Amino acid sequence: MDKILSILGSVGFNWHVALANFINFLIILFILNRFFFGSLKKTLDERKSVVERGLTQASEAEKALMNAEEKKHEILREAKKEGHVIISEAQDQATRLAETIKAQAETEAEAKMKLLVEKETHLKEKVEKDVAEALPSLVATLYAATLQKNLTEEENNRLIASMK
Amino acid sequence: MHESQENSSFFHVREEVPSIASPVLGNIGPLTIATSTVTTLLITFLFVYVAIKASRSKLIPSRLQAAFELFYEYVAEFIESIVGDKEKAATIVPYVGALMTYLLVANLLPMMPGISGFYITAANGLHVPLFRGATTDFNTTFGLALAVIVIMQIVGIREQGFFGYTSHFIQIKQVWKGFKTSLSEGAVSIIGFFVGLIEIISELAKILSLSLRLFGNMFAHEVLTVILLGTFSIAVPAIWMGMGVLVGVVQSIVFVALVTVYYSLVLKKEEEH
Repeated sequence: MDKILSILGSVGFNWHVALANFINFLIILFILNRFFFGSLKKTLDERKSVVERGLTQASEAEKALMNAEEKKHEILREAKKEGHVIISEAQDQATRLAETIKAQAETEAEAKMKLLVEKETHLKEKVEKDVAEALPSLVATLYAATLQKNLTEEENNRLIASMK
Repeated sequence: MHESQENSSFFHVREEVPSIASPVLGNIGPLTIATSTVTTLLITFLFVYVAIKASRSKLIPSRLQAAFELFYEYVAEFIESIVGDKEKAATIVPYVGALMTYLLVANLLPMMPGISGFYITAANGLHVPLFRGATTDFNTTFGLALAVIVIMQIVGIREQGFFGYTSHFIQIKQVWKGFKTSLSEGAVSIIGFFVGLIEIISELAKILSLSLRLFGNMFAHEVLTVILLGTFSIAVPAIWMGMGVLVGVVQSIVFVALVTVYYSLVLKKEEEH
């Protein structure tokens, strides 16, 4: 042991100084381990977890966006389909309404026509009746005017009767 | 003025070649304070400041915090490249990282301009630089290596359990099992028993090999710098001082790489069980 110590002494070994340096290094190791490397590791791990969480959230958000986009397309497709149905129904309804209106108008026109024809017939009959009624007296008047003689009531009636 | 400085000229900066033993300043209880211890204390205060800054780290880093994180990532990657396992590397990053940080600062601090300008009178009455390079003193490198090996044993025991870890050195159980199986197996286990005892010596040798390698390189660099300054102080020492930065960094990496290998061996033994 003494031999070893004397060999070490030739390179300046002094166990008191070595002990001081040993303790000093343990203190340094404790400080660096606890407050430098420990703290940095904690921060780096924390940052890594934040980044990983962010990436997960971003990927989830991307998925949600894709789903929403798909849903939007689906809604638009359905809306388009519904629109087409509504338009075609409206067109059908419009066609039906137009046909109904047309039929109604035709019926009304026919009825009016019939009424007019009836009125015309009635008027014609009335005119004919009026003419038939007025004609003998007119003829008698004309006859009297032609003969320049007033007909007696009896003659007048006779003339009218002969014309009927 | 320092005696050696009085003999200096424009072309020659004559300084005394540093003694192999760090000059002693005084004692605090059983602890002796040498000039290298003062440098170590300075480094400790520097690290306390750095630790305070680092402990206030936030999710959005400042420039200083970004630099710390960059250093952390570099150390972690370096250790992982040696260990080859991310999880195991993470276990030893704080120990080896602290060691690397300390060594880089300790090796490069003496090259900072102005650091060598402070002088103090040592216990033996000599006028000596206050801040001697920490790793140019064998006591510092020895203390460092001793701490590393002690911590390694603690890590080994923590990872494998007390009996699991010590069974690599004192293989009584293996001998018992060997003789229980067969006589030949028992004979082989006896060899294993002695190999285990040699392992204890090898653990102690690690302290010396680590400390002497670092001390030898750093002390030789310091001595050569002083000699070059005394020979011709213009330009030539500058190249050597530049080399010193490289030596400091390389020696830190070598020391840390070896310690990482030792630690990874302790962790790998766990796999074998």
